[in-house]
Amino acid sequence: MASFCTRCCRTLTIVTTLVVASLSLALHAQPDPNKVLKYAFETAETGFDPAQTSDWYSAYVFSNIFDTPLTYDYLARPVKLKPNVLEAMPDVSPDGLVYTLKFRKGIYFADDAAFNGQRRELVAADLAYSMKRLFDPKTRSPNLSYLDGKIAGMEKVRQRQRDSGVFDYDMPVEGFELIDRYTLRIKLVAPDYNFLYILAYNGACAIVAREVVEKYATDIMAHPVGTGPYKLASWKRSSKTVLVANPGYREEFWEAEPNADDAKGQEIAKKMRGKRLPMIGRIEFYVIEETQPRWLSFRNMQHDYIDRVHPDFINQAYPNNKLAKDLEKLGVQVSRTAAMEVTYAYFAMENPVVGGYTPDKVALRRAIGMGYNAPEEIAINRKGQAVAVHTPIGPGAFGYEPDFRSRSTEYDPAAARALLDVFGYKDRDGDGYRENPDGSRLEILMSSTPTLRDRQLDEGWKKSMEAIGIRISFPKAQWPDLLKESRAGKLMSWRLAWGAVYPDADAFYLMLFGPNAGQANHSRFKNDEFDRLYLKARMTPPGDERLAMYRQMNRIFLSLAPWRLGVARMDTDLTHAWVQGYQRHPTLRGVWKMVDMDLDVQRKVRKE
Amino acid sequence: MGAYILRRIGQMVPTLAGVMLLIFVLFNAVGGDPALVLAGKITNKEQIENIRKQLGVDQPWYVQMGYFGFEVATGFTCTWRSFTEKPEPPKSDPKADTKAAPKAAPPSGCQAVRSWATNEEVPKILATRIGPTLSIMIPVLVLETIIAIFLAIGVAYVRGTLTDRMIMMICTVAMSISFLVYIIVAQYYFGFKWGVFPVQGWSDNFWKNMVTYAPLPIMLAIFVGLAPALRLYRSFFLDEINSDYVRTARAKGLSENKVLLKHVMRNAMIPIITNVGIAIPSLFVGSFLLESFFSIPGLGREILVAVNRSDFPVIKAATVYLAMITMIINLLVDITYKAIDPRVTFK
Repeated sequence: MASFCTRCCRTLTIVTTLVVASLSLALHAQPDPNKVLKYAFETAETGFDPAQTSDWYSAYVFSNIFDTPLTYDYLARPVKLKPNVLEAMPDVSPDGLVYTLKFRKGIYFADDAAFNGQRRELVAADLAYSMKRLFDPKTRSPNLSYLDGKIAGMEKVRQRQRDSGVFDYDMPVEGFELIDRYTLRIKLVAPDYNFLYILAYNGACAIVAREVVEKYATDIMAHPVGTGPYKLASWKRSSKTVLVANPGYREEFWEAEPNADDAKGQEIAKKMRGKRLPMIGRIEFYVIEETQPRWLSFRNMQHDYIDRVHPDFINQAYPNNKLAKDLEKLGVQVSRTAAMEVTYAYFAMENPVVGGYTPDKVALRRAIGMGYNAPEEIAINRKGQAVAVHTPIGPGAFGYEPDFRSRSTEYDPAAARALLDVFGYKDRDGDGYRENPDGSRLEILMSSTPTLRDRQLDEGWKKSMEAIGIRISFPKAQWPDLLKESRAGKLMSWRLAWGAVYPDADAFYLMLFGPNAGQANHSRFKNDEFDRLYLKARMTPPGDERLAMYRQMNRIFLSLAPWRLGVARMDTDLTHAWVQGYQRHPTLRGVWKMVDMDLDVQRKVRKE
Repeated sequence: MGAYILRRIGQMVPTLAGVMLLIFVLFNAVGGDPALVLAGKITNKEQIENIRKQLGVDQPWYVQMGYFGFEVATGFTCTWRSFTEKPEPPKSDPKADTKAAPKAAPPSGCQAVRSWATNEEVPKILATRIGPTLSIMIPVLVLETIIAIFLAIGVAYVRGTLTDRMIMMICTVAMSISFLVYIIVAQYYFGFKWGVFPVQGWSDNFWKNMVTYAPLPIMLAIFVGLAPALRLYRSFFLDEINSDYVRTARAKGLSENKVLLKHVMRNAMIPIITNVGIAIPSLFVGSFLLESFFSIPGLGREILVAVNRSDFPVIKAATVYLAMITMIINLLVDITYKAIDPRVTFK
């Protein structure tokens, strides 16, 4: 009996020691709650349901909460996809139609009342459900276009919804086949090699749990529950959002593959590699719409990070393209990249004044393009915080060629005037403005909003056009009204900006694809060869063949000039000396798990 | 008096109906199509139509007006469609993971009016924003009124002197400078350069807000509001100081303090209260500039965000709410006249 008791005691001691040791290990693995990163958005977020939001700042928060099947390597440039919650990259069938995704086991959602006290594992059905939500009319998803018409069998579900008024999530769909608990086979209607990017896009493929969506229903925007490194601790709409490290986050370590010639990336990787993620215990996002308090909050160290420093303060932060001396002294670090976007002014191709494909109309549009002083826009309106773009593809996307130049996208007023003269756009009545070749009045109507920024751009356009003898005016309306008119093809010209959610020229060329006229294709540009190449490129794996198609599409675009290309803005992000490992990624939003804070440095710098 | 109050309350109903009609016409005539804003960058006609249907803006104008009236009266939105919608059919996919996929709940007939942009309940938005707004605006109004009254009575007493002229000149200069300039300069110096106050911020703790974050915006608002109030109140006091009853009081041998603080002030209070009454409704919408620059999560800032997002339910609710507050405050101000001046009678 005594020996039985001794054995029991010994076993109990061993078990207790093991439990304590594991608990202590687990505790050590948790990020330091004293590491609190504070940062301010310049625009209020809308909410944290990935399917219902498309704004930058909401995504900036929920990308730290939800996982997507794929993600991007943090430092590889050009950007590189890698598995996130998958065991490996999806297995793509040779015809590019079928994607097989094998999910890793043992990935859990953060605890929530919706799970009734049970740990809820991420399974393949969750991705199918999350993607189906975009098709549900009740979700009112602004991201539907990324999946619309792509998943085999979804049209049947939508048709039934149209007939019955009910969206049936349980209706079998050919495009979503559950092989087993962890394997999902997605079948596409047509091959689309960009689908891999969609699997990394949090607006379309952030994985949510059905129980959570159904429990919170209309309040789902305020109850994001995911498998990501952080979970929502509190949210005061348009004011303050707090994330805390998800204690149930899977074991994951810092890993990235910077290019060999990327000295900063290499340095970050050397310092950070192997650290357990996430490292920061708490992230506080504030909303400061005004530029001065946002800047001063960073300067007086109330905040640790400021993204996209406003041009009003760029001369204090980064004068002459160099970090300011006082900031350098404080150890402030800078991350500067050209945004994956383009700004442009389109010409409506169906408009009798500027539209059409005849040589005189093409010449008019090209002359307007060459006559516009884009360098002045960059220097004055954008305070040097932009780069001119020479193709419709934004910097960083596959297909963007930084060294590409075209005469038709360079500022050359003399050439513009000569071109107009040759095609008969001459000042016949001596009023200083040119008339159409048939002698009728020529006036460009470029719509714009009544905002200060648009008024400043209007002035630049007016000055440029008057210099080449073209009369231009700016009908004013609010942005939603202009959008409606534009989609209806009622505007002659309008300036827009476009940022891509995936790093491929496809995300830009869709604005010129004929069938998208009346939607993303505001100019209603239509060219059979361009459309054929667009569809063919989608079905071609990324590589030289696809790049050649993109080049050909660019040539068509430049020769017909449906747009005057503008700029891509430069994003200048600053972090204080104690923030480690930050580097802006062109598309990845959930970067905070890759960043650390050194509290000793923070104390030291603040004391000084 | 009871009959007077009842009559005034009765008059509020058609006034409110007029306000609602005006809001409805304005938003429908110039407000644009909210579905286009909510549909995202790439969309199609079907999706836009679906959003319009979900928002109820596909209905004829009189139906939408009816919904609006119901929303104002109850705080709930109950479209005919929401009553007639069928619940989800109890179907299941044999291959689906049933543990991960429980069935959907049927939709309810009515729900609180919600923001189109964020789906948050509008009454909740207003309720959570009013606290920070009042935390700033009540001290501003109270302190500004008290300081302005005492300064005005003093300036009125020394009317025509160099002091009076200097103060009036300073007031004119102060009024000529934009509020924005005061904010930018004060934020830079008091917040950043000298570190007397935080540059911006707000917390969940009332006392921390009042001690740490609110003083700078309150001081700025008082400073800016003081000059016009002082000039106005001075003129009210001057009107009274030259009256016969003041001469009579002085002739009776009353002290100057008693004449000014008892007789003159009481009579000058009627226009002052009218002026304060006009200012009270603005307490409830706050200052857009202060709230934006100092990151105060108040109603003014919320309305600004709603306007930028074309979030009509929030804008409409805030407008109706302000109209109601204005009418109620006007009634209270009228009742206060009676308490201050017994000569006032209600007819």
